[in-house]
Amino acid sequence: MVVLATEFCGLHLRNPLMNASGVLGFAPEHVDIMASWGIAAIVTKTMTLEPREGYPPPIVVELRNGGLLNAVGLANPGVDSIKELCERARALGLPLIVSVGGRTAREFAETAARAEDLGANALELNLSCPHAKGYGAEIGRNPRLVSEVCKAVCSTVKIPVVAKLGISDKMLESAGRALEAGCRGLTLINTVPAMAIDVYSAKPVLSNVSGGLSGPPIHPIAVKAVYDTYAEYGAEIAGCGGVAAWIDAAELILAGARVVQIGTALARGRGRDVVSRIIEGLASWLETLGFRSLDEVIGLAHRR
Amino acid sequence: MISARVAEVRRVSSTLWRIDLELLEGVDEPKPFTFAMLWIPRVDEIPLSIAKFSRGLVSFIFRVRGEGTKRLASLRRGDFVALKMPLGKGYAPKPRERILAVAGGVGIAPIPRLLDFCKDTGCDVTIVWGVRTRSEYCDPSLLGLDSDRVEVASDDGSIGFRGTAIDLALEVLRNQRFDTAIAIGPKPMLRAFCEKVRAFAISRALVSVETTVKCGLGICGSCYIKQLPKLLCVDGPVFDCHEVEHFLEIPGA
Ligand SMILES: Cc1cc2nc3c(=O)[nH]c(=O)nc-3n(C[C@H](O)[C@H](O)[C@H](O)COP(=O)(O)OP(=O)(O)OC[C@H]3O[C@@H](n4cnc5c(N)ncnc54)[C@H](O)[C@@H]3O)c2cc1C
Ligand SMILES: Cc1cc2nc3c(=O)[nH]c(=O)nc-3n(C[C@H](O)[C@H](O)[C@H](O)COP(=O)(O)O)c2cc1C
Ligand code: FES
Repeated sequence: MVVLATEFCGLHLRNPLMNASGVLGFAPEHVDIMASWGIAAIVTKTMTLEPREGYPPPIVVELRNGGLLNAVGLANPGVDSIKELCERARALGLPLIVSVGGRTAREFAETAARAEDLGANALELNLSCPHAKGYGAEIGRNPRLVSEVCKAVCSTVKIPVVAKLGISDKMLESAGRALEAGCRGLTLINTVPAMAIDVYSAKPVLSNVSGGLSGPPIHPIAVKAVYDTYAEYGAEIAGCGGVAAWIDAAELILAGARVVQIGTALARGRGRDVVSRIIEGLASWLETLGFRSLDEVIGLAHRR
Repeated sequence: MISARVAEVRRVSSTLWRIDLELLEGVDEPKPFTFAMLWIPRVDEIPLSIAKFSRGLVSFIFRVRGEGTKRLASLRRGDFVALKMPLGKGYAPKPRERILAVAGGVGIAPIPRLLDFCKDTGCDVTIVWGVRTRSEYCDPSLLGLDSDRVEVASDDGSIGFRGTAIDLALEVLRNQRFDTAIAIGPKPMLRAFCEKVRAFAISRALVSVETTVKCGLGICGSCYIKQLPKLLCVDGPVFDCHEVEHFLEIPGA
């Protein structure tokens, strides 16, 4: 028997899979649904101090290339709503990672403190949403701001903090600053800026005009982001981007990911199927390679 | 998204509109009670039940509520829209299943598709349609509902049975046997349906409900049903009465 149980930033996980932020994750009913998929931890939708409406539909569209395009606009019921989510997750025996968003270091720290008070097991700082003005990527691609935000949060809370970054020419530098500031790990990557135009009406499809690309087309981008970051810092990384099958997860793990987050592939009610197949696939892959635990293959692609 | 071109938009009663779209790409055959997200470029994307479907053509029946449906009613032949469809599980009756379908107002929208499906597969549908008053009614054929078995009720008695759709449905249930009863309409109507239908020996009591549907793809979470680990856009919009007990208690339409 191979061991898929692992530890990520101090959280004990029965397997290396969790959802990516933005797949459900803001109502107790969502927690029940996600728990039934078999993931080892639940990541909430990005929560802000105050509730946010988000953008009007269309907010998510499927693309012909197998990718998904979204601009949800960080719609969320506000960080206070996580109380119920924490209670539900605890009852189900699942760690809850609260994704936190904000515009300033102060807002981040305040939201993070609230999340900790209300029972979060860990925090993921959204420094990478590409389509909400003032939030996310505008901070993540600026190493100085990343440092400021991470310092503010890490000096405020005791629970583990993970910084979620997207690809940008400053990703490596920002990752370094986040770790320096006290983050226990990194989540890589968020969606990639993109847009779609309807060719008959000749109009952009998303109400926000542009948004973020996810799903299979971004997987190789995520592999490189994880590989480069692991090479530089050897940090604990949650690999994310385009994982739909065990082989996609395996690649991210070989590149250096300790755990794997799944977003797009969980859509359309496929969660349970996708998660169980990835778990089975990873187990038999490790057996084929003659390893007994997942820990032995993390970052294996770096070995010469 | 599947591109489509408007073939016709017409008003069929004081409250109801019908829009026919020509599909520019192939789609999977929709089961009864599945729905579409209809995108009106740069205006809105709204959930609508699939009312009619034949190769290359899809129709919707709607009521003007706010800006989105108002703009839908003002589309012209030749305008382009796009669809995500079919969405949800819907409800596909088994061959020979005897179904009582109870519709309130614009709840009539998915019924033509149900009838067409049953014509193909051999299930048996009796339809009860309730409107508030005569002007809201139209000849069922205008909705593509080709049946002589549409029983009509109006709150004020100006057409058909005097009373609500539920009152009439109970009358029908007293005289005829059904395997399944399914209701669609405003929440108070569904609440009354689930409560009253219990007195009858039918194996399934179902309702088709509405929630906020923002993505239709089972990812944004907006369409969850209170105290039920299910999503409307994936598992619905048809649920067993007992599954939506809490949901139906929440006030609102
Ligand atoms: C699965 C599903 C299938 C549907 N099928 C049909 C259909 O076949 N025909 C049809 O006419 N409508 C249908 N609806 C409802 C339809 O989606 C709404 O009427 C529409 O989105 C309103 O958009 P709007 O921009 O015109 O109104 P908005 O500006 O969004 O709202 C205007 C007013 O209508 C109310 N309203 C909006 N949406 C709803 C809703 N879902 N339920 C109750 N009240 C609402 C609002 O509270 C507001 O007061 C369906 C909804 C769902 C979830
Ligand atoms: C509809 C949708 C909403 C998302 N919302 C968030 C969010 O609130 N916060 C966040 O950090 N990432 C969000 N993401 C990004 C995902 O967490 C993930 O980083 C990205 O989708 C890549 O993974 P995937 O290819 O497996 O989907 C969202 C993605 C999608 C598709
Ligand atoms: S509408 Fe987004 S999950 Fe159902």
